[in-house]
Amino acid sequence: MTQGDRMAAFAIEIDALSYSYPGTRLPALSEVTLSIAAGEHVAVIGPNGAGKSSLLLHLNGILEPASGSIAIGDLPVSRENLPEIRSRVGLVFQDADDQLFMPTLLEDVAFGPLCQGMAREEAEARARQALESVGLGAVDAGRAAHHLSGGEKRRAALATVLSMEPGILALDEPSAALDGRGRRMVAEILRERRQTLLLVTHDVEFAAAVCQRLVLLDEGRVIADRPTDDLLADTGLLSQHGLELAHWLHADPR
Amino acid sequence: MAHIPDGFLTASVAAGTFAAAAALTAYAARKTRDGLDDRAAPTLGLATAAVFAAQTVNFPVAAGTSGHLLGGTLVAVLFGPWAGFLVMTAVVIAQALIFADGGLTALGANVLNIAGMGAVVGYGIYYALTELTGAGSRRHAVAAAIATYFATVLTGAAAGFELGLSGIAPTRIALTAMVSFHALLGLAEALITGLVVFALARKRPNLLFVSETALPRTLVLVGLGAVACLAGLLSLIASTAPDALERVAMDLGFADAGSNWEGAPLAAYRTWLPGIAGTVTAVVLGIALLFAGVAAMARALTRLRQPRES
Amino acid sequence: MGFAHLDRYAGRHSWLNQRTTPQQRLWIALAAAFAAGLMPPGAWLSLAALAILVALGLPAADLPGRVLARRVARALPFFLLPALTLPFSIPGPVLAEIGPFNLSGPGTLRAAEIILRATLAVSAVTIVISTTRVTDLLSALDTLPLPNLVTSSLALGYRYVYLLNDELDRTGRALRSRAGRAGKLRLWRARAATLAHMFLRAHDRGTRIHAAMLSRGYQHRLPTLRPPANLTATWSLTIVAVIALVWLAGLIEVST
Repeated sequence: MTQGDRMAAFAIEIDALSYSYPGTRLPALSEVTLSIAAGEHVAVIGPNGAGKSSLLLHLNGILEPASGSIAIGDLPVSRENLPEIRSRVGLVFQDADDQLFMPTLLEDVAFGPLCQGMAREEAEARARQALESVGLGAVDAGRAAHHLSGGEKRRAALATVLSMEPGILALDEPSAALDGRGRRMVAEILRERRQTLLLVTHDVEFAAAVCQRLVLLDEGRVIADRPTDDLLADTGLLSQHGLELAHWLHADPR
Repeated sequence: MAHIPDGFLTASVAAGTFAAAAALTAYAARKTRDGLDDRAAPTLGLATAAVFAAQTVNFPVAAGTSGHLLGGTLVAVLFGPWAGFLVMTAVVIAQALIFADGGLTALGANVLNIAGMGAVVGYGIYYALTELTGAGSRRHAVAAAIATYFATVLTGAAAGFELGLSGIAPTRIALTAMVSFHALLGLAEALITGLVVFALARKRPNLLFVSETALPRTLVLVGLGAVACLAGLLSLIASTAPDALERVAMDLGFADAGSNWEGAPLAAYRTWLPGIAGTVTAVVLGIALLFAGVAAMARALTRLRQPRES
Repeated sequence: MGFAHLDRYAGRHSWLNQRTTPQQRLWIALAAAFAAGLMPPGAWLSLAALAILVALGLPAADLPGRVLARRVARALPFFLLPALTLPFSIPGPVLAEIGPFNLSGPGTLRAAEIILRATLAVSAVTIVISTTRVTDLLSALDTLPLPNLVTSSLALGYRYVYLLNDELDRTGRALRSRAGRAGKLRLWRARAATLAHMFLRAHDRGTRIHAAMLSRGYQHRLPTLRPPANLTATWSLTIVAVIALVWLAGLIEVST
């Protein structure tokens, strides 16, 4: 059973988005244009400091663009649309400990639905369902998140947005600090999603395992936007932008 | 010792301090919301966690003993007086409930003493001093250390006063004992706070809380003068008019049991009181002198270091 | 003050835990502490009755006696020291002379009474609270008239103190491996720098958590999964009522 079956996926339209952090001269993002269809799985790859995280924070209006615009489905991201935008875009942060801030795991996962105004019983049912869908149905959700392992925390963080049944999942470095098994589990969960998926990472193998399309971002600009296999073959371009592949992935198929 | 346990305060003192603490807490919550908006909950929550964690770090003193930070003035310097007050209120509640540190009937008093004196009054003194000294990590650190020292002594004085009003001991003795103890405790607290603020101001100066209201310099001087006068007055009361406070307490009907101190075994504490009273007078007068001296020194420092720090 | 032991005696299937909810236990703890703390001086019979009630709480909550003894022993110095000045400062017939000091009869009684009251209060709170999970206690605190910012600070404080403690341990270890034997002032400076670093990271984490909250629709108030306060359940109401009666009896005992 996946929750993705009954939720609408939304398209993402990013048009000439530019942004600079206050007090800095170099733009974090400059003229980024990106169009993602509903239900598409796309990874934005790039080295550290390429502007990947800044891009994600624009999707639900945590950061406001200096110029350019973003639309989620038919709705532009603007101040008056924020509540609706934030229920459409589920944002998973890089450090799971930032996402799991409530005293108990269950309250963490129910946080989103409760903030959306859902009744207690319904929110709790949603939360349990979301925990189930990331393979955490068996853990004691009445305990605090610091009892969980790194991999469990990551999946729990994912559950905190899945419970809101968002049309878009946006994830920041979802494979960071995970061991091989944890990485594989998260990749499997993500692959099965019916929602639009946008993940940003410097873990090219992980991106390739989940997404059919890769966008290469560096110094705040879109360098390349191609199907996964196509971009993976261009090892010269990847290493030019600080992205290394493990040998087995780009070995000559002959 | 700063935490008053259950059983020490009379019902009237407990009720009075509860009312005052509740009013201050409500006011602090409003001020904090006004200032931080929806950032308030995460900011204060993490500050509370940081104070809890900081209290586990030991600073060795001597002969195997060690102390730790209490943190009231430090959080106020970092997050502002009202946010600091709420953080310390949360800490005091957790200590009473989870760590059996301080009583529940004394919660109001402990909040006033630790959060009120530590964060709000401590910040007031810090703010006044920085208005005099100007910017700079070293000057901020010195101002924070001095403010922390006063706030700690005042914490003790407030606790002593509340115990005196409750008839635990003649107010003068309670005040004397608590102030002397906190005069020592304050040294460590002040040094730690000063060092932490120095390190923080160096690493990231914009992290220190900046008040939006700027006070005119004359007002600051008048405020500091008033505090110094109060300290001097306290020392005078302690040394020359020992029974004045008890009389106030009795007139107000606070001191219930054995409120007639006249018949106390005076022979007993006549012999040992002058010693403590003398010490305290010295301590309090010393504080007043220190206060004046520091203000002068800070000004001199400001002028000396002007070319290097802008 | 450690944090590892917090939930050690929580979640027992004790008589008390099966019949009361965490919020009701919080009210019981408050009632007992207030009855002990505010028992009028001289109400010895009522104080004894309260002591029996608290003693009954030990088996009812299934808390090992040594745990209680340890907690009380830890808190004892804080009320023993100030209370021990009472025999010398309260007037009355002299019991004994110790050096220059006179030990008065009423003073000694008063000291004993205060120590007893303080011990009772600490015991009652320890028995009821240490058998309750901290997370349950946090939600119970929502039923008290506290500002949201105080309860949310406690909730987030509990969640993140473990994380910050781990960070402190790591930086402490790194510091130790780099520095040899250092003077005391240098040690203080190093520890203070560690604390400064921790406050800085705590601040930054607060900013990130704020973004994570906003992303999930947070608006000014942490939502709760708990049903609204309910103090009407028979057992907790009975216990609170008995405690209140004992306190009232104390008032009557003193006035007659």
